Amino acid sequence: MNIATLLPDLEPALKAFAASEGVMMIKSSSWVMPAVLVTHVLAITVLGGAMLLPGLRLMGVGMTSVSPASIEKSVRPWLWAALIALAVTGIFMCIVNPMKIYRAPAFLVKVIALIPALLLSLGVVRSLASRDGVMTQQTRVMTIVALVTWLLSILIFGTSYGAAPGSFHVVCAGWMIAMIFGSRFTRIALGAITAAIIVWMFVMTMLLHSPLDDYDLVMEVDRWTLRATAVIVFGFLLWEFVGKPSPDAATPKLNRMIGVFTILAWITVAAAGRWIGLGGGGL
Amino acid sequence: MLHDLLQWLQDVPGAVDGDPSTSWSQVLAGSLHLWALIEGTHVLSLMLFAGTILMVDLRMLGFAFKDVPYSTLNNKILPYTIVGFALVMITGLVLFFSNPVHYYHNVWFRAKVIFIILAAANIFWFHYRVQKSQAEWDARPNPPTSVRLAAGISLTSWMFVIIFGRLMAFVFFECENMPPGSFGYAFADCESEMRAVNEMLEEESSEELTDESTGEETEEVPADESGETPAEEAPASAPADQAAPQEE
Repeated sequence: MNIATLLPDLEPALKAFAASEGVMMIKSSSWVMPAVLVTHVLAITVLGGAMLLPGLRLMGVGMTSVSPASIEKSVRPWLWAALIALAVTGIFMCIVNPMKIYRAPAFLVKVIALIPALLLSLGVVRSLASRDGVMTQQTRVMTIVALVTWLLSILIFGTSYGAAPGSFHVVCAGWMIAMIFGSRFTRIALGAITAAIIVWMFVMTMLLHSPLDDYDLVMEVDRWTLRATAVIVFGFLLWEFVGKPSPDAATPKLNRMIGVFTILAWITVAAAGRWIGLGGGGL
Repeated sequence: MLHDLLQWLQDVPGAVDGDPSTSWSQVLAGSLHLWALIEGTHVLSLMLFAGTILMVDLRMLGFAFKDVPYSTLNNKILPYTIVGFALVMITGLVLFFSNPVHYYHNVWFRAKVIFIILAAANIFWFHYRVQKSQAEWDARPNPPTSVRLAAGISLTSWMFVIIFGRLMAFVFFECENMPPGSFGYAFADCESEMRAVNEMLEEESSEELTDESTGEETEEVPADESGETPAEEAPASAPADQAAPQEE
């Protein structure tokens, strides 16, 4: 699924726009796009720090002696600066390559994933931080909307033909969170399952990828392995952060999950962005 | 000498029957998704590594977390920075391994390494000199000049590492595009690369001349089922960021 399948009538206009003089002039410049791309990746770095620290604090880890309100207030100007830079450079990249983003499934994933990421960082996290962790009705609604849209973005990411491998980054981030912050049982169990998956992939490579050289079959096996891994990892995350009592009475377990969720939402946006160029204009 | 070593690294380890296109390096470079996943992990790990360094540096500069002691921020954030650094380094080394000769002669890669060394030197200077007086400035909203200088160097170094890393995708300053004798040509040690390329071209053309002068027909290589001869199959594709600027 991509924007082309949702809005097929847009294609002629986008093609005309792509061939316009302004776009051609920007593309022919030797410095404009490098400057845009460099600014975009620097802004991603700033975003990383600005969303991680409040997210970790909500999870009840990191700077636990500092109030969530203080952390959120300190990072807020940097978060906004990063988001503005990302928006400006992102729009620029869309203008210069309209047909690519029109057909790229990863771009659709990125746009949808931006909804939960922004709702969480600018709405939910800020509200929880300023109210000492107390959740209002408005915050609850934003969280539910964020969860639904994030799940939709993950579903599209994991099922799109070309971009599905990119969802590995989100699964990997979830795995790291579970392994670093999970209980001893989670580390042992998830570690053992991971080892089994690695053996499975090795066996598949020897028995399937190399001998048969059937691209579609290989992709199908890889996709389903990744989906199974995703379900396992997120199952462990839910159990650790929602199913079990919070280790710290001052940190409600729903807030902990929101912290995890915020980090994963932004990883989804970043991973999808990376895979716009790598994932092709598939289905 | 280093060029030859890296050429060996690119062509030999894992090669089947001496065929360089089957070496581990070339297989990684031409892999279906593995190279892309490693490269994506490298970029995304910046959010963890450089993102956390940024926050600590901003504290040292007095631009953020002014009411939080430096030690609180550093002690709690440093473990995440270390994990991020490990991810970035491991993925970076693997990416280098996928095309070592190209990266070795890449102007941007060399500049990136210089700034990584500068950042590392700064870390040592801060840890062994500046940090000795930490008790005096730990809680100060505006730390002394030496602390801010270390933070400024750190931020600038890592910023340039990221900038040069991103510019590696662009082909402006490839050896083939730079005039001999220019600064870029010398900086990237293009002499050794172009010598190797010319030697390879001479070998190929002398083989063709030998075949023509002896009047021998080249042995017909049997075609595979697709109708193409194996020699006509496309070589392992170069890593994506070499061919064209990548979308973020």
